[in-house]
Amino acid sequence: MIKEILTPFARAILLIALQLLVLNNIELGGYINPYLYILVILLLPTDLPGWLQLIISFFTGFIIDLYSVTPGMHTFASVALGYFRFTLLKYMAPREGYNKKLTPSAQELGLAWYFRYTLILTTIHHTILFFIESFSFQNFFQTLLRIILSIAFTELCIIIFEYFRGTARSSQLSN
Amino acid sequence: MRTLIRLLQAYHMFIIFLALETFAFLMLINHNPYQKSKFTNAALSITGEILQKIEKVKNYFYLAKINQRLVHENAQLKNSLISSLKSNRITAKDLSDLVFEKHWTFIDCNIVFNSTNKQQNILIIDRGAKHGVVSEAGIVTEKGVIGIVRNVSANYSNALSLLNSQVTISARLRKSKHFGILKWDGRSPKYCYMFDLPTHINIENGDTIETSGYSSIFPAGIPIGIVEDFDKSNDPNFLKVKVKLLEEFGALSHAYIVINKFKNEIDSLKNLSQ
Repeated sequence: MIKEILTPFARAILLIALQLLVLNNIELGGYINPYLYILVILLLPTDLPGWLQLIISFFTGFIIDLYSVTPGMHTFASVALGYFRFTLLKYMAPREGYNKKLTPSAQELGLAWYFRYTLILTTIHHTILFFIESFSFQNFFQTLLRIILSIAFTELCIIIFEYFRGTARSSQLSN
Repeated sequence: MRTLIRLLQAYHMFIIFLALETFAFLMLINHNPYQKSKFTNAALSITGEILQKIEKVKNYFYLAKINQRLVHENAQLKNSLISSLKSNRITAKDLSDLVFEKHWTFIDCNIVFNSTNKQQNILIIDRGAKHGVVSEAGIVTEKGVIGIVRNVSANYSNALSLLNSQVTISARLRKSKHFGILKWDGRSPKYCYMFDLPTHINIENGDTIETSGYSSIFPAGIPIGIVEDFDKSNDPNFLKVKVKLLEEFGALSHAYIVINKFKNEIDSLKNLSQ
């Protein structure tokens, strides 16, 4: 039980630290800003009540906002992400439903499913976030380019993270 | 109440979502200067547009009032225009000379009313007693005689047009100086008829008819018209001459009032002899 709570919690701390300490400092022409912290929300257990998911999303975004001094931006995008994830999971549910206490993963639901799932939600999150950041449609195509590049980079990070998670889990299983 | 609770239960997720998003949005626009200014601008432009629309609608209700005000203002402006003023300036000057004493005074005037389609046509001119106009003064243009002043008020006078059956004018042939009287027959405003010319005189179509100077109203030699036709058959002794008027009576605008300084003197002499 404790492990079940602690593992997501530790993962969240790891991801947020990674975001704040490393990824926030990446500057690739101002066009690529990966936001890996959304994995905290994406990897929440599926059987968590909806309101709790929303609250967790809210605080995740809030913490990121606090430390990157962009009050409201990530909070807004994260809450939206949490809500859409809740809805999307219903539509993308396997025929027999999710296993209890399941955290979405490529290993259990397939890489294709996992890729689709993360890509859709990353797109939603990044679109909202970058448009809130520019807060106008004046440089629409520039913003769009930033969104696409950042989605690609974030998605790459997510797949790499998933790879490490998979190997860690399989080594755990083999032990 | 129970329905409300059920509704809240069914949509609690969405309500929480909205509440959190609202909170995030408020945070966003309150603590980020860029987003704040953008948001304020957008809000202002939207409210501004709406207020403008409301103002537009409101303006319709004031249209009548505004119209009234504009009409007042227009009237005021028109009153200050030069065309609303009546010019009292006249060009006549008196000479005081023993050799050449002023006999005829010409006063320029505008014709402010004119008719040609009645039996008793009249003119109204914008000169009156103030300008020296007297009753029974003649009115002429550069082309010919057009009428005789009848009544004079301070600023205006009315006159009998030549096209008035009450008017008779003493006229003569310019060539032979034979005189007669000229009258309008009440039909065409283009023609008058001249009577009392003896039949033996040498007269041709195209001869000029002018004033005789016997009437003390017009000076001698002011043109009236040209002979269009003459008829001897009516009377064995006198001719009836059809005179084509020189002046176009339908298009009068400026004229001169002719005032005879010695009219009273001449008239009193006439009365004495009768």
